[in-house]
Amino acid sequence: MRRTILSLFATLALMLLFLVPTPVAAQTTADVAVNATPAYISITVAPAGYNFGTLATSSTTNTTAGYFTMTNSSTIATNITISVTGATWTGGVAWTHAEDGVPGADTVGLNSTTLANNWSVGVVVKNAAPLTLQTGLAATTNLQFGLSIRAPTSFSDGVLKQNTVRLTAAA
Amino acid sequence: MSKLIPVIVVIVVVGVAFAVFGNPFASGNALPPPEPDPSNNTTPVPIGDEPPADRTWISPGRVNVTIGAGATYPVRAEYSVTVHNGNLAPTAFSVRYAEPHYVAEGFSAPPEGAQDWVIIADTRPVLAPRETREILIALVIPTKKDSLPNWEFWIIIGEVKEGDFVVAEMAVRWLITTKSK
Repeated sequence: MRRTILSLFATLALMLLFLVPTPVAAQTTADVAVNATPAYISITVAPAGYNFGTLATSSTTNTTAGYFTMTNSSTIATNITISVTGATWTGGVAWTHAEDGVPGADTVGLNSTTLANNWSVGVVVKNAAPLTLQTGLAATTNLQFGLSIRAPTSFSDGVLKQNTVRLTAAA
Repeated sequence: MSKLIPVIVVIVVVGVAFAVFGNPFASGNALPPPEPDPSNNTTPVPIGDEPPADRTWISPGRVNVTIGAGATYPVRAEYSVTVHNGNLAPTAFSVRYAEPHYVAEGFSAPPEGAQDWVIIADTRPVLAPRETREILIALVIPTKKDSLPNWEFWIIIGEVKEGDFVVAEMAVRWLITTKSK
């Protein structure tokens, strides 16, 4: 009995050792000033999905220029950049994402435009070094935009390909 | 059996000590020990009206760090990003360091290795419906670099979503200014 109690006590002590959370230390060193711009950044985008359907080689397929709506509840003006999260489009033989927007063999390009520009002006959607889709978007002003995919000049397979488009708001 | 009693007593004492004074091994996100700070120079800034409660938002939009010429290295600067979950369901967020998509005038991209200087207290917080939470961000620059220009990095926050084709994220821009005199 005594042995059981001691074992239980030891187990509880070990649990305390590894489970008790520690408050995160928080201090800024001397001669370093930190301040922040008072603002809220708030965006969401809908719809979350779009299916370009079956693509023919070397074809270009657009959504409507205002198909996606970015709802902006930010309290200050923001710049909106656009990018894809993956350097490749996954599924079967992956497609390389063209950073210059120009398609090739198993290489796909993606462009974007705002409703206001309606494809007269567009930006290349890159993976690295995202470009700005909208500069100085006023506070609480929504943004509608569209996407245009430039299909590869040749395919290795007909498997569904996927990537993720990411909008980023920054003050 | 009696030989085990001193061992058990030691374990109990250590366990209670960590429970009372804190346990440095409890979290993988634990930050390094703070430097002594005789003058608390982190400036709280009042902020305006929040977006509606049903909107997901972050604050602030920018953090400005000014490192004085007399600063002692390693230099540490901290500020918390506030994240609000506007959803009616628990939501996982991603909080990550990022190279800036663009930089402010007079600032450059972060120096090589800067990512290692940024500590995020919780990189994948799960917020309850309509919860607002502060997540501490710490910048710890290990040594003085005379050639280090003014530079910028971003902390990007977004909901963790699987399968969505289009997602939205929000950035806190950190602008670092180093005074030479």
